[in-house]
Amino acid sequence: MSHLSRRGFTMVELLVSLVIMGIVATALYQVLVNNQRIYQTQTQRIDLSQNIRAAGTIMPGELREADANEGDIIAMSPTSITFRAMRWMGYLCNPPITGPSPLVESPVLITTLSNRHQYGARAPALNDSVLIRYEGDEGTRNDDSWVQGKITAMVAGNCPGGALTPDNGPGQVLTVGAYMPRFQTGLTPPAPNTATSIYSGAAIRGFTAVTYSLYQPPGDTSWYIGYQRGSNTMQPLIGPVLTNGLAMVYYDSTGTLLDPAVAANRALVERVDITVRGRTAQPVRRVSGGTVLGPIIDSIVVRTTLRNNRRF
Amino acid sequence: MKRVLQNERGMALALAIFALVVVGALVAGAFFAGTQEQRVGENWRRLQQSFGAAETGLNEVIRNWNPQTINRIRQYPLDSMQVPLNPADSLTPDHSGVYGGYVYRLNDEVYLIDITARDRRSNAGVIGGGARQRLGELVRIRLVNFGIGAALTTRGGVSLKGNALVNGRDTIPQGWNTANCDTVGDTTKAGVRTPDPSLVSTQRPGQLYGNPPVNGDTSVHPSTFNQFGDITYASLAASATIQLGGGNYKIQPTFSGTVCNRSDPMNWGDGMNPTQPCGNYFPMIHIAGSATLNGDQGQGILLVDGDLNVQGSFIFYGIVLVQGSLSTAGGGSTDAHFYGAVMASNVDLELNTLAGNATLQYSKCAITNAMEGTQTVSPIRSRGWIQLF
Repeated sequence: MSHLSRRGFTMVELLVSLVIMGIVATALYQVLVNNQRIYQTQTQRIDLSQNIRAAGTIMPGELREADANEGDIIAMSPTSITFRAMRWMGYLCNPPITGPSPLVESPVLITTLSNRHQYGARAPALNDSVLIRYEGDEGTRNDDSWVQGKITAMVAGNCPGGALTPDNGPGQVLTVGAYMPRFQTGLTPPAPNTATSIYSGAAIRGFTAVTYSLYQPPGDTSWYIGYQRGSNTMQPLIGPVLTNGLAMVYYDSTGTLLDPAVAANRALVERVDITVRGRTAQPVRRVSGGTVLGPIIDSIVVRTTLRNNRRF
Repeated sequence: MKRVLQNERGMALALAIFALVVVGALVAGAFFAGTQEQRVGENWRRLQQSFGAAETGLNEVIRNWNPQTINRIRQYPLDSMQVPLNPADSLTPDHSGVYGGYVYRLNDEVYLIDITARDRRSNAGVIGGGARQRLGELVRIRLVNFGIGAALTTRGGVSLKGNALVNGRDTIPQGWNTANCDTVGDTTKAGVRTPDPSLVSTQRPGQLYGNPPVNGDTSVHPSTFNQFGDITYASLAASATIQLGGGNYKIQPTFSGTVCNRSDPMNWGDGMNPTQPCGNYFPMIHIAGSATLNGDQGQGILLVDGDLNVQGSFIFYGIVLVQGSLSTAGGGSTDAHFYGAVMASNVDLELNTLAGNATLQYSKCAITNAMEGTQTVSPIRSRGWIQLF
């Protein structure tokens, strides 16, 4: 059969085939678009879940170690809290020489931190703020306290060993600018600078002041839970959240609601209820097949009890 | 001949396959993301369960603190103790997780409990390793500051008769392991410490030793015998492990098979045989009234609300605190012997009469062992809870 004698497609055939192809392509497109939307929605929803879950893990994890009674909560409001977050813990294998005069309230303490059993989110570092356990009179717990200080020098050095301090392993010799008030000052309990008031084996804890706050970065239309370490710039940590995306409610040990605007209440906090209301970063169709675009909203409430408040 | 292949042109099949691949990829992507999210959620739940198990573990260690074993471990890094002592007890009471770890002694009073816990499914082994949490707690022995300054501290008079002897020179009881004895400092105390030394009388020379033999200390007053630092006599008595009413008692170690029978209120340990099953048993005994003891022996901390009368042979190792007066009697080969320290408040200011073969022998080793053997722990006053990571 020659090429010229071959039959071509009629116009009707072409039109019919085009219509069928169009229908198939449209259906295929619809399926693809729908799948794309479902995928996007799922991804957004997952991000949202992980966001609020992170908020429910990070903030309570830090707050649990705070001691409100002794001044660890520096500032608080319904949408923001600044407190001392513990970063590491170790023990002194060579205690500092304290005293003899309690009148010296800002002594420089030289002590050795053992390299054994250092715990925490990071290692000790120069300029860290620290709390050193103060024993005072061994016969009573009523004077047990913590000495505040700052590491002003830190060099490698061995623990001394011996009958009273058996640890003779490697350590860090710390120079600590300390504050040992004779009397209660604000929320800082007394830790008078008397002789032999800090013992070998005393715990030492490093901390840093952190702020968690509802935060809108400059030039951004979204709100986040912001995190600020010390005097550094606040950075968005979790989000986006709603404009009321972070709400904190404070209670004392009897379950009584505390007004965060009252400064004295900072020392009474025993429990913090944290509500995080997150939203998806992108608007999505909230109903399958729907046409209305908008964010999906989810929330979490975490009740956190401060574990380290003074016990008696 | 008809060429069939030439008529099978078109792209419907290719398009269909392409569409199926795209749709399949999207579905697989969504399924993968969903599965990941489900796993993240599951891990988060396991993390929370592990955290709860770790906190439970900390509390269980404190609740089950065994002074006779844990209080004797040496300061870290010389010693550490694995907890729980029995691995079969590592399941949390609500069966939600498994915990274990170590107790480290940081100094005389303070211990660090280091617990790692996993929820049960993570512990059983899951893909990816599951979750774990590690928490710590600083705890402190509630050592009682008895303010012991002599072999015998009293507010009343003391009459030493017969072969009675009060000795403030430190002595380690016979057969005791010196490794468990702190011999640093204050090795010699006064024989008798009382506000009025003129009320102390002896029948013959050599009945009083110490530095000084009699310490006239006007600071001895009623609170010396009922307030010890921040602990009262009443709270101490309430925490005693053996509670008895007034009466006559014969005390001796008893056994359940080869195990010390600690449920027997007449068993106060075995200081005479420290290597035997009851040798490390140091109970705190409270007698709500006056008591007469007639044999054999005991150790720990003895609190008597009334008078204590020791007839004949009886040996006690540790601290004896009597709100009333103390009297001993006995003769021949029988002996009343106290190793440690005796404090008799003597509320009626009666005479403490020590007669027969009574010996009050100061022993720092007996005192520290009794205190360590009876004292449990509680979390330190503040900031004792630690996320160890």
